[in-house]
Amino acid sequence: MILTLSKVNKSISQKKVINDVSFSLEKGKILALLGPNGAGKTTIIRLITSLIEQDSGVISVFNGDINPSNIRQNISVQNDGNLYENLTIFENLKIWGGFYEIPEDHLEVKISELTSRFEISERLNSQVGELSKGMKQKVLIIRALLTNPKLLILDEPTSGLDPYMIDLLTKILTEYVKRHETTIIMATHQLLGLESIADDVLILNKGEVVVHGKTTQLISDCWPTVELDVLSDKENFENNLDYLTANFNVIHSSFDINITRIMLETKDNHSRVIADIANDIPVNGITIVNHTVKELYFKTLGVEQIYE
Amino acid sequence: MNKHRIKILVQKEWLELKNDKATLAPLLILPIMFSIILPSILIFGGVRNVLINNVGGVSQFLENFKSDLIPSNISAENIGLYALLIFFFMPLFLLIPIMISTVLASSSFVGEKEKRTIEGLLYTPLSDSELLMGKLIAVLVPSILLTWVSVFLYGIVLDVLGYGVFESMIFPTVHWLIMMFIIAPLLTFFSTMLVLMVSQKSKSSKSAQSVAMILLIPIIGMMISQASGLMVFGAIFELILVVILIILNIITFNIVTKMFVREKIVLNS
Repeated sequence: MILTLSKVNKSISQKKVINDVSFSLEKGKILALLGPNGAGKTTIIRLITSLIEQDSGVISVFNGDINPSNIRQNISVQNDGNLYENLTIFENLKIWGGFYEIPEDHLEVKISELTSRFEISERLNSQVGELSKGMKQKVLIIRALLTNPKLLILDEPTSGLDPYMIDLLTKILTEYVKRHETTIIMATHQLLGLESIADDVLILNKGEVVVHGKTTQLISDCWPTVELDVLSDKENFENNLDYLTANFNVIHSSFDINITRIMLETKDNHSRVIADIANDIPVNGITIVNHTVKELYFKTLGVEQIYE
Repeated sequence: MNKHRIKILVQKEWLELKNDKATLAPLLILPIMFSIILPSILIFGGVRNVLINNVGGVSQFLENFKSDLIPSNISAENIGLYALLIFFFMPLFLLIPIMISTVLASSSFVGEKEKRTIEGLLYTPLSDSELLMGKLIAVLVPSILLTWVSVFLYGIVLDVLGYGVFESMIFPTVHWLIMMFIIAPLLTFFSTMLVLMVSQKSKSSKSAQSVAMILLIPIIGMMISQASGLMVFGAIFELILVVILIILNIITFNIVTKMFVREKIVLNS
């Protein structure tokens, strides 16, 4: 385990902000650290990086290294803090690498590689104050990746990024984990598509762990039955609905102008069920509903999604 | 302590200062005024000029000044001008290190909070002592150097322009050397420590700078004391000042090192 928190408690100004938090994280995994505003995500990050000290409990980073400076040498944090606005991108990155004692020639190669990967090479000598929010966000992420950390902590990494950059960031992070065996903690409110990148999910609420585990396991625990989405033409809708209601637990049905949709759940072998339905009624398609981290988040916290 | 990390932090601070013209420009105005403009006006105008006659404190200072502090080679008609340039001006030059160090320290410590860069810096491997040391070097070195350059320029003006009046080089004196090499650095350190103490609570660099007012009061007190003839910036006074500053620096440094804990910095930012 690269990180273990055991029964950690922390109060700030007499208010308990972290309550008996325990979890651990394996090397080379990506953990999505989720929770509403004020849930304690930033405090957890500050505790892991020894910026603040827990009132009780044990935090073990890198197998029990207790020197805060050593710990921070191997952890990189991208948070919503700012860059040095009156310095250039290059100066910001070079100074950062200097704090981590990266040899100068290696540092310059690394800056060149990463700025090229994030498509900002041509702005290397621009003052940070002149950049857009999205560009600054890219520099903050590059700054965090620059030091080849064992543990990379990203706090709202997609904030300000356009959809193309969000996709690119996901790709870069996945490659980065594979190449360097880096472990990533990603605190984010951007839940869309998270299941494709996060190995583990931890949902905090009011300083307590509500849910923690492997992403796929949590989703399958939350939705133990397979849900199928059956599409058919409008004229077949009523008959199909009658047939499916008689044989399965229909959980949702709707029809638009040209297409109807019936969702059902089954505990049986879904391949066989799909084959049977396709054989018995006229359908346009049957798909397995893949539940998402976003749905898990809303279901766990007991709040309704406004948009699905 | 890791020297490399301290060096990088100092470089970062100076690079930021170099690019921050709004902070840098006012820092140069006061030294230029005290080092070049004011002494030049006095020397060209002579001791009976309009400036001296119209500034109450100066004329009172000249009336009360004890002439036994004046070297024998200074002619009677130049005693007043000599006393002004060598004694009256000395407290003015103590304002330079106070002002520069206060502005730099508040910009360096509270400025990081204002610009929301402090937390990022605290996530780096810099230890508390490296962070404090790097920031102190970045503030103290330019403050002291700029004070020395100001005094050096003042000396050149006095010796070059004043040679025609005094027929000898009147600068430096032992008092000025003590002021320059001992008192000014101690005062710079003290004002920086005061800014650091208030920076824990202060959310803006302007409010942190107001601490300089505390130091301006004794300096103004010195000028009034000189003007009223109560005391002159001589050897005994300098010795007392050095001892007081050393004690104050030890006390404030101890307070600051205890206060300089990253948890407090993070939670107060």
